[in-house]
Amino acid sequence: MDKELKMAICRAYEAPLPGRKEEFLQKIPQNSMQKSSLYEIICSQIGYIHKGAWFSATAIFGAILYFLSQQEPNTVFLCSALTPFLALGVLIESGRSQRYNMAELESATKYSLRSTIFSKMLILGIFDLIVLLLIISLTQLQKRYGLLLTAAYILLPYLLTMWLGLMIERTSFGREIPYSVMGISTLISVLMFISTGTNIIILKPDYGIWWEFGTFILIAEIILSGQKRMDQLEESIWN
Amino acid sequence: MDYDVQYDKIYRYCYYKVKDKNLAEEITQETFLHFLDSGYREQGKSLQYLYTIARNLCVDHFRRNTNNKQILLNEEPEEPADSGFEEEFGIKSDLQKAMSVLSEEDREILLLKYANDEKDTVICGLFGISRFSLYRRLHRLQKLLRKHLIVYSS
Repeated sequence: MDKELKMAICRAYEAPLPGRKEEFLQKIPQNSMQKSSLYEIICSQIGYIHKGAWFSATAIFGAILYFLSQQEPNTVFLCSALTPFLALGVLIESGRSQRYNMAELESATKYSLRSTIFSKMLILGIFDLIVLLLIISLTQLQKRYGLLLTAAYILLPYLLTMWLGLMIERTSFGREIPYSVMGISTLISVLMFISTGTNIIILKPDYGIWWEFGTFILIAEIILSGQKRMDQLEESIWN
Repeated sequence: MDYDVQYDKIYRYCYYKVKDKNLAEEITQETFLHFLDSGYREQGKSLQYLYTIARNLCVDHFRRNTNNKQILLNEEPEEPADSGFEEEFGIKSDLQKAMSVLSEEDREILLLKYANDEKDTVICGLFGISRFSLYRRLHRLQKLLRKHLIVYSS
């Protein structure tokens, strides 16, 4: 809408100045409506993340560093085979409230279950991203493949695990979810190890475009999946 | 959420509904008191909640006093103290005529979107429509207003 018309509409709805505003605002408590910022929620939640999540991510990074130091020809794929376990850490942490039947209780706490899970996933996601970027840069030092292809090789198993894990968490209920997610990540990891060992054709750089394409598709799918998961948790807020 | 800003927005909304300064202010304050009493926990929908309370209180008011409903339908709003722009350009009266053609809901959308500068998510949430639907509606309203403005000004 053009500026002149917008201004005219604003003026058309202009109301006389309220006379008792200041007096009223002084009477009511000022903090009750203030929204907690994402930063505040993240700071409050960082301490509640299970130590195991940090430890496992660090251990995986250590194992990857070991593979990199060995200078094997298939280092990229060996590193890539371990990344599903990074995703597993995030998924296990995000489903912890439901696993211990605390989801309903957490819905009634200061920060909603949705904010809590979102912040935990964000923290661990950022941590994983840093680890993955480090792995990609260290692998890139070997100069075996291009940067995009290396990134696709490393990220695709991680993203695939994350996508499938989010889908399982969204569609299933019960205590079996972590086992399903563990199964998925182990399966993807084992498949990557087997593929690396047998030097399967799909790992050849000729098929790199498919890896890159798959990575982009999975990134988009994870964003959608994450959004759906958050929408699902919204139900708990209104409950 | 900033009380100061939200107060003005809710007051403008109530004033648009009841066309009475004192009554609008009374309903605005009642809206905030209802909001605070409700024990609302922040989940990003406080504005929608405030508008819904204000709207319901206005409806309650009209239910209690049906005469006021006649005022809403027939009376023109009080003139604000300063209306220099439109008088200067001769738009305001034509615009008000053009806006009288619109439905109540369309006028409310224009108020929320342009006068109160609300985000699309708030408006969509209040009216239960999608963003796409809102964009289409605003586009249609713009065309309709332009068309009627040309007719009235000529």
